[in-house]
Amino acid sequence: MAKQTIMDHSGHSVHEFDPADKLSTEQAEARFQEFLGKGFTVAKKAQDGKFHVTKTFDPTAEETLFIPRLQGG
Amino acid sequence: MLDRRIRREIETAYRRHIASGEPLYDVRDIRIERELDRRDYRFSIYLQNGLSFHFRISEHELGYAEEELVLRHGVPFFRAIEDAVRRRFIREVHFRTDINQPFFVDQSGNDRHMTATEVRARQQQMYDRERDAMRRYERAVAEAMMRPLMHYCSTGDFLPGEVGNYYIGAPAENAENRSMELLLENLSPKQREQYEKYKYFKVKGERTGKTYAITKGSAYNVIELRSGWFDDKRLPKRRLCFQPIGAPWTGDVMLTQKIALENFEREAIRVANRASMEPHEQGRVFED
Repeated sequence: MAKQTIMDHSGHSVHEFDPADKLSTEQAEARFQEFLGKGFTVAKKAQDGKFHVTKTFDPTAEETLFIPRLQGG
Repeated sequence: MLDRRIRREIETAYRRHIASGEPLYDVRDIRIERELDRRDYRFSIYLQNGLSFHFRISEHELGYAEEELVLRHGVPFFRAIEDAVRRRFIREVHFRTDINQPFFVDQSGNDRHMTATEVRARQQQMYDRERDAMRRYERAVAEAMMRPLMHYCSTGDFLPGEVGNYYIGAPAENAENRSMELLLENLSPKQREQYEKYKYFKVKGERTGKTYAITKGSAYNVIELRSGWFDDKRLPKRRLCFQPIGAPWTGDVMLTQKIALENFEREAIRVANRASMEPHEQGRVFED
């Protein structure tokens, strides 16, 4: 199962989807586009454990993290 | 007394908003603490869904809130008091023959002592006027404090940057713990070791190659380390502060800072606020 983690006010919310399942993959892609459109930064976890920023949906990515826009604290 | 009444106003404002049909959670508790030494009020609103909202307002800021908002409701409290005092003072100066026994001018233009009944009536009148002004003041203050909460409730999302001096979304234990778990899951083995040992981990900037130490915290917790060839690169240079909007939990903030510095350092530094190190911190050594 692939995982999309979205940072929000509740800590974070996790959405899992099966890349082999067409419907859930489409939902995951829609979620990806939705948060990208909201200004979130999307980073996918590579094999070495590091996150790399991406702007295209990759159904094979095991873990994708959605980070809200930054502001000075 | 003031605390109890403001608390009631907050509840009323909140419940009024619930009645308007917004998707809200019920209030579990409202606490008001006064820090006597700092002359601050700290208001905490706890909702049933576990979220909590905290406002720290100084008396000075209460004055501002009043100036800004009471205008919509009538006479500002402080001004009402000042007016009352000034009026009384002018009378006393004008008819100063016996300060302990107030005078007034009757309808025929003669000065005479007020009777005990008249003194009591005037005191009651002043008391009523001050009480009314006080009520308006409390309502305005409650509304000022509810404004960020209403913003959150009406949009389903809150933006800490938009609420000025108020701090919203104080750590609820659950979300805080989950955010720290997420952070630890995503640190490299070396960073995790550093964090467990020193309560900070180091990150290399993607663009400049500078080293940053991210300490536990969510404000001014990123420390840029010295990078000059003649510098000891374990020593701090300055503090930086940047956070994700709407994700206030410590672990989330720290993970965001790590990913930002490792992936888009320039953008992160551009939005960050900067602060110099305190004198006592300047010699702090950040070991690898």
